[in-house]
Amino acid sequence: MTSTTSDKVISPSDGKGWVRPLAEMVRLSFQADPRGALVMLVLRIVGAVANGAFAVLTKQLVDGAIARDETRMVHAAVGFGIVTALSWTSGWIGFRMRLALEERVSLLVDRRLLLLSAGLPGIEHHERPDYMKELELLRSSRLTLAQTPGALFETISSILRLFVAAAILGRLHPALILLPLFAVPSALASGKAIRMQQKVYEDMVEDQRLATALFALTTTAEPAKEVRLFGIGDEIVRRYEVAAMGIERAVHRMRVRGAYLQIAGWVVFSLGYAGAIVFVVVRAVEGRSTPGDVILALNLAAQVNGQVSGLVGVVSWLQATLKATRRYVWLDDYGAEITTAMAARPQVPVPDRLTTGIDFAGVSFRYPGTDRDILTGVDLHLPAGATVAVVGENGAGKTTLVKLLCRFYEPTTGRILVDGADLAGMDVGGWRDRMSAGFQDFAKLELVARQTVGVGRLSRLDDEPAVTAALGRASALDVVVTLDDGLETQLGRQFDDGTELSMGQWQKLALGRAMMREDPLLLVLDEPTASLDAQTEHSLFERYAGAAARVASTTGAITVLVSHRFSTVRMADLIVVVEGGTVSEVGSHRELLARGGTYAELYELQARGYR
Amino acid sequence: MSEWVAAWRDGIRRRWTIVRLMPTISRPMAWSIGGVGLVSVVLPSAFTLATGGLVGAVPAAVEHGLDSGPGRHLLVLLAVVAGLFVAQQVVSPVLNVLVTSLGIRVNAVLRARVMRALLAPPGVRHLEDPAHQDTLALAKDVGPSQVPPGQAVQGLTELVMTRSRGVLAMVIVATMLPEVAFPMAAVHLVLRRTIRKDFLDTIKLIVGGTQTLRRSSYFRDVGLTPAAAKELRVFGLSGWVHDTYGFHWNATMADVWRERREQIRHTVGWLGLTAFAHFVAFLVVGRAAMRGELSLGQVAVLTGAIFEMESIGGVGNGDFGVEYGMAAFDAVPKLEELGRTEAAASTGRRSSDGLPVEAIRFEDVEFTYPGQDRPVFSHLDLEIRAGESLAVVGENGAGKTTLVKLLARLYDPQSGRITVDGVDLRDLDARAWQRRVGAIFQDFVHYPFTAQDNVAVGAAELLSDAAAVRDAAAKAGATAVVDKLDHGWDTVLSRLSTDGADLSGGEWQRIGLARALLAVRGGAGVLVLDEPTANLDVRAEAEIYDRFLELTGGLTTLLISHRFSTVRQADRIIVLEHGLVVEDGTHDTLLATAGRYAEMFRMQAARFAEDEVGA
Repeated sequence: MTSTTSDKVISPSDGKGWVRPLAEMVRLSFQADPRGALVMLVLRIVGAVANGAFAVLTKQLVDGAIARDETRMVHAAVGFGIVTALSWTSGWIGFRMRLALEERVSLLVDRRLLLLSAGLPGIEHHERPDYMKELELLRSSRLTLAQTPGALFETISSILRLFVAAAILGRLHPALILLPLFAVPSALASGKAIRMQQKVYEDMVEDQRLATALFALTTTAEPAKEVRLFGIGDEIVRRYEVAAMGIERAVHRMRVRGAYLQIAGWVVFSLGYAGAIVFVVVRAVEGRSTPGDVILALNLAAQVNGQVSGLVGVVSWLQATLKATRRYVWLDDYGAEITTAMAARPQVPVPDRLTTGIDFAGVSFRYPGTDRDILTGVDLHLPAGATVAVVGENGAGKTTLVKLLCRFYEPTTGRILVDGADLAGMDVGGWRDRMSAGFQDFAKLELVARQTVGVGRLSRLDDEPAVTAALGRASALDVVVTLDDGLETQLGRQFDDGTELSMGQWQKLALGRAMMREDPLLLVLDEPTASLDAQTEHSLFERYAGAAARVASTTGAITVLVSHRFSTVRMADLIVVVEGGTVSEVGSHRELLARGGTYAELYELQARGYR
Repeated sequence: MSEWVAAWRDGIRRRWTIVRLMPTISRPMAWSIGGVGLVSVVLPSAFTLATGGLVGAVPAAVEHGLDSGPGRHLLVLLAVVAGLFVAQQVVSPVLNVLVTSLGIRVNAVLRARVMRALLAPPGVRHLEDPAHQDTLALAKDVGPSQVPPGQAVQGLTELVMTRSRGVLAMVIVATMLPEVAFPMAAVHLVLRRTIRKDFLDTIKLIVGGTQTLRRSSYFRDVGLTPAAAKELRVFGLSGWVHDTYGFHWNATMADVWRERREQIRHTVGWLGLTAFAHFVAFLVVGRAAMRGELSLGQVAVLTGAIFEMESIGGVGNGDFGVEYGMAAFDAVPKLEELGRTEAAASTGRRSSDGLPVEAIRFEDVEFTYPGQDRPVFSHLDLEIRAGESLAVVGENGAGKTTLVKLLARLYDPQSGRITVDGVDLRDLDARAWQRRVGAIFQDFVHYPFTAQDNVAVGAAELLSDAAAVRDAAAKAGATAVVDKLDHGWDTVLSRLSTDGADLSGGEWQRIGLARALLAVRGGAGVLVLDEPTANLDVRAEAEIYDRFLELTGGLTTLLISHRFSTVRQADRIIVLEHGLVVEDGTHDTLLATAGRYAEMFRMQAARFAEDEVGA
C-alpha cells in the first residue's frame, strides 16, 4: 500500500532551525569556489584589521608630530600607505571576488534547485497551493541565496571589526570596553526595524503580485487585444495605482517607525559616546593621556555604533539568507523523503512488453492537503494492445486518471498493476522511458522547432529524419512548412527572430513531441487536440491507432485518449465513462450505445449536431 | 575630447531629468530630500572641524585647567562635537526613509505612465514588433539588470551627497595644504574613472550577453515553473534542462570572469598609487606639524578630512542605481513617444454608433506581421453582412484569428482596406469602434480578479453592475461554475491568492464567454467567438449550440470553430485557406457544392451516421 508521504514534511515557514541551513550556507560557498571563498575570507579579515589600524596610526602621527619624533611620524606615514593599500585591496578586490563567488554560488544553487524541483518524480509541488507559494518564494529568493558568501563573510568581518575597535579602546582605558554596551539598544532597534521591514514586504506579496500582473496586462500583446475591445485600460491603470500606492504607503509607514526606533537607539549611544570622550578629554587635561589618544578615542568611539548596527544589519541579511536556505533545505528533505519512500518499496522491473494489461485495483485518490476524493474505488482493466477512450464531463476525474498513469501522483489507496506487478514499485524513470504523452495544457517550449519536438526523445533530439517522422505521425508537417527556416526556426517571442505560432500550431508540435517515441508501452493523450479540427484529430488517432495495433502485437502497447469528440472516441476498442470520480460505464461503442446510459446520451447530444 | 564633453553633457542632462521629476512626484518629499541632504553633506565636515578644534583645545586646557576660559572653551567644543555626532545619526535614517519612499513612488508613477503610453494606441503592433522589445523589456525592468527606475533617484541622491561631502573635505584640506588637496583629489578622480569603467564594462558584458543569459534563465524557469512540469517528467528532461541551463550560463559568465581577472590584475597598479599618495600626504602633514606650521587641531582636522576626500571618488551602489535605473528611466519617454506616434497614426474621428447597419468588407487586404516575412493575407476579399452570423473554418495557421485582429483594428492592413458600411475603418474613431466589437479570444485573459470582476471587465461601464454580470454569466452557463466556489462571486480566480481558486479550462471558457456577452450588453454590436467551446464538455457544448441563435440574435457574429455542430448554426460559412476565402455559403449550399467544407462535414457526420443504422 502506498500513500503520499508529503503531508509529513513540515512546511518551511515553520522551520526555526538554523544549524543545518547555516552549515548548508558554508558548504555552498566553499563548494562553489573553494579557493575564491578562502581568499575572500582572508581579505575580509585583513580589511577589518586595517580599519582599526587607521585610528592607531592617526594617534601615532599626532603624538609623533607633537613629540617632534621624526621616526615615529615617518613610520606612521608609511603605515598609512600600507594600510590604505590593504584596506583598498580588501574593498575593491574583495568586492569583485565576492561578485564572482556569488555568481558561482548562484549557478550552483540554480542547478541544485533544478535537479531538486525538476528531478522530483511527482508534480505535487507544482499544483498544491501552499507548496507552490513556497517554491515561488524560493525561486524569487534565488538572488538572496546567491548572496550567501557575502552575508557570511560580511558577518564575520563585522564581528571582527567590533572586536578590534573594542580591544584598542580597552588598551586606552579598560572602562572604554563598556562603550559597545551603549550600542545594544541601537542594535536591537535596527534588528526590530529590519524585521518590520521584512514583514511588511511579506504582507505585501499579494499586492505586489497583483501590481505586476496588472502592469503585464497593458504591456504584453496577448491580453492587450481584449483590454482594448472591452475598454478597460483605464480601470487596469487605476487598479495598478491603487495597489502600487498602497504598497508605497505601507512601506513608508513602516520605514518611518523604523527610523524613529533607530534614532532612539542612536540617542542612547550618543550618551555613551559623549561620556567616553568627556572621560578621555578629562584624562588628557589631567595629563594622563595624549592628544593622540583623544583623536583615537574620538575616531574609534564614533565607529563603534556603526559597527554594532552594521553587525545587526549583516546579521539580518544573514537571517534572510537563512530563511531562503531553510526553504531550500525543505525542498531537499521533501525530495529525499520521496526517494527514500520509493526505495523502500519492493523493486519491480518495467516489463518489456505488456501481456495482460494495466489494472486499477480499488484506486482512490485525493490531492494531498485536500479533503475531497477525486477518484473513489476505481476498478478498471485496460487490456494489452487496446486503444482506450476516456470520456466524461469537465471535472469528472479524467485528468486525474491520466496523472496517476504518468505517476505524477501515487494513488491514495489501492494499486495500479502493470501485468500484475505494482506500478508503484517500478523505477519512475524506467516507466516513463516506456511511455509517452500529450496534454491539453502542453508546454510551449521556445526552442528551435527541431528541439521543441525532439525533446520527446532526447536521444533523437538532433535527428532531423526522426523529428520529421514524428511530425508526420502527428499530422503536423504543415506547421513546419510555414516556418521561414523550417525545423531550425526559433519559436516564441522571448528570443530575437523568434516566430510566434498560433495556438493550434503549438498544439500540433506538442503532439509531434508525444509521437517521438515509436514503441512505448503506454501512450496517453489528454485532450491534446482541443484546438485542432476534428479531421486532424480523427486521422491522427486513426493513423496512430493503426501503428499502435501493429506494435501492439509485439509489445501489447495501450493507448489512452481523453476526448470530447465522439467521432474519435467511438473508434476506441474500449470506452470508459468517468462520472463523479468513479467509472460508471465500460465497453465498446456499440455495447455502450445499446446500454442507453450516459455514454449513449452524450453521444446522441453530439451526433444531433451532424444530422 | 569634444566627444567626451558631449557624453558628459548628455550625462548631466539625463541626471537633471531625474532631479526635475522629483518635485513633480511629491513636492514636500523632494524639498525635504534637498534640505536634509544639504545638512547631511555639511555635517561630516563640521564634525571633523569640531573634533579638530576639540583636540586643539586640549593643550591649553591642560595648562589652565577646566575651570579657566580655555577649559570652558574645551567643554563647549565637547558639547558641539557630541551634538554634531547625534545630528549625523539622526539625519541618515530620515534621509533614507525619504529617498526610499520617493523611489517607490517614482517606480509606481513611471510604470503607470508606461501603462498609459502603451494603452494609447488602439492597435497592438507596438507590443508585438520585435524592434521595440528591448525598450519594452527595459521599462518592465525584466532586462538582465532588473533595476527599476526608482533606483536612479536613490542612486543619484547618494552620488550627489557623497561627492559633495568629498568636495567639502577637499576644500577644508586645501585651506591648509593645497599641495596635498589637489593631487589627492586628482588621484581619487582618476581612480574613480578606472573603477567605474571596469564596473560598467563588466555589467555591459552581462547585459550584452542578454540573448545567452535570457536563454539560460529560460531553461531555469522551464525547470522551476509548472508550465512544462508534466512533459519534463514524461520525457525525462530534467537532466537535459539542467545541463543546457548551465551551458548557456557558463557561456555568458566565462567572458565576465575573464574580464574580472584582467581587472584585478591591473587594479594592483592603482592600489600602489593610492598607497603612495596617502603615504606622501601624511608625510607632508607630519612634517608640517613638526615644523610647527600646523597646529595640533589642524593636524586632527587634516587626518579626518584627507580620509573624507575618498568620497570624491569611489564607486558603489549609487553608480549602479544611476547607470541602470537610468536605462529604465530613459526608456519611459521613448515608450511615451512610441505610444504617441502609434496613436497619432489613427486619425479617424467618425462615430461608429450603431455600425454596421449594412456590412463590414475586407477589400483586397494584404497583411504581414511585423518582423515576419510571410504574409498572412495577400488579397483577401470578404464581406460580413450586418446582423448575420458568419462562421470561419480553416486549418491551423490559415489566418482566422488574424482576421479578427484586423476587424477589431488591432492591426491595420499594409494595403487594401476594411470598410464598415462603406466607411474605411481608419476613418472611424478607433476606440469607439473597438467598443462595438465584443470578443472571446482563444487566449482570453485569466484576470487575477474576483469571479465577478472577471466577467465585469467585459464592459468598462458595467464594472459595478452585479445584475448585468450575473445575467451574462447565466447566459454563458457560468453560474454553476461560480456557485461551487467557496466565496462565490467574490472568489479571486487565482491559485496564488489567499482564499483564491483556479478553474479548469472548460470552466474558464464559460467565464470568458460571459465576459463577451457582457460586452454585448455594454453596447457591442459585433460579437467575435474564437474557439469558444474548444475545452467544453459535451453537455456544455450542446447547450451553447442549442442556444446559439438566442445568443447571437440581432448581432453581427463572427464565429471561429472546429466544431461543426456549432458552425452549421451560422447563417453563413466561409472556408479560409492560405489567406484566401475558398468557399462561401450557407451550410446547405456548401454541402451541395461538395467542396472542402462538405468533405470535412460529411466525414464527421458519417462517423455519427453509421449508428443510426446500427443502433
